Amino acid sequence: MSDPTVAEGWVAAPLTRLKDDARLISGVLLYPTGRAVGQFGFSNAADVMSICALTSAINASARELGRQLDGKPFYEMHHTGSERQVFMARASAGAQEFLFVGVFDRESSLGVVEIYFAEFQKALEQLQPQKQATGKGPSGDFEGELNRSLDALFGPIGKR
Amino acid sequence: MSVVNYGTREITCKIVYYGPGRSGKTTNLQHVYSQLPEERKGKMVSLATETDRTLFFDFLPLDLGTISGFATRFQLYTVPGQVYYAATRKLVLQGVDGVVFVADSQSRQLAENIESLQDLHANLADEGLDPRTLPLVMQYNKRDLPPVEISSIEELDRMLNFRDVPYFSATAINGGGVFETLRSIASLVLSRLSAPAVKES
Repeated sequence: MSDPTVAEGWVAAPLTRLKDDARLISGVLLYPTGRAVGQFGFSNAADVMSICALTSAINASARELGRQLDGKPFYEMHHTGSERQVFMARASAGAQEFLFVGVFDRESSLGVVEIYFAEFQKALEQLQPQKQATGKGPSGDFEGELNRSLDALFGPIGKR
Repeated sequence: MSVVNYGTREITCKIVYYGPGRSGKTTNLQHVYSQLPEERKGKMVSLATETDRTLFFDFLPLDLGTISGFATRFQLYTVPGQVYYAATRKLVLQGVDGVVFVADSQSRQLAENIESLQDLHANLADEGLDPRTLPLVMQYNKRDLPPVEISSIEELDRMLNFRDVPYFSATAINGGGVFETLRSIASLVLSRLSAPAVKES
């Protein structure tokens, strides 16, 4: 199983531990807005973006559903498929909230995942999200490269 | 907001297609999806009702390739246009970098276009985004309908395009104007990212 790919380095260690201990096949940690923080088990960035968009939407829907049905938001969800199961829950670091979605099969169980996810939550709580390193942004012949890339993908711009 | 990750050299931008119900937002994404090569796109996700009305959103991830050393990706979303899905539209707008407003050119839909545009402005303001400065492109869709049924481009532009942003006439059902619109909003959003670097240099 591959190591997590992370957009923010500070989540690498807890994410690796969660993956190994809970025997997860794949998982994504994301901001509630749908931006990925780290993932494992996916090789295609587009797939990760789709998972994030859907997880963000499910989270928002479930919270509202919980409020309406139970008077308080649903924060944790579990779906049992025929072969694989999906687990979703939230975690936080500092004041920042995160969502996690993970997939497991018969090598693990909901109980095991919940136990290790609780440890993951505690580990994350001890950390502070690190500000991303800043550096030189897109520059140089940015406009030229942008236009060439857009031309190649979408064709030349049409008339207004 | 656009995510520029200097560690992984990635740029991710979120574009939302906004507009009244049945104006052609989903059709825009379907055309993009059908035309782009496999290696440049992910799966198109549509959360729709049985009658194919958008219930939550459509989502299409795009890979623009490497620009100035940054792997550049776009996330295209649509919102459900029907009035009663206001909460969903607000949710989908979170973190938006640019908006394509898809207007229905039919004369009888003019009031719905205006209402949807006002709804967009209110929701952007609620998200702390300035509707006057956020990258925006107008698309006047359904130009293939009989002239007696549709407003002129000039009238639509006068009624809807207060900011004098780029606008495109389109027939999204057969792909007309779809890529021109997308190219324009992509350019506006990405050019914004390069602005600080230009100042810096």
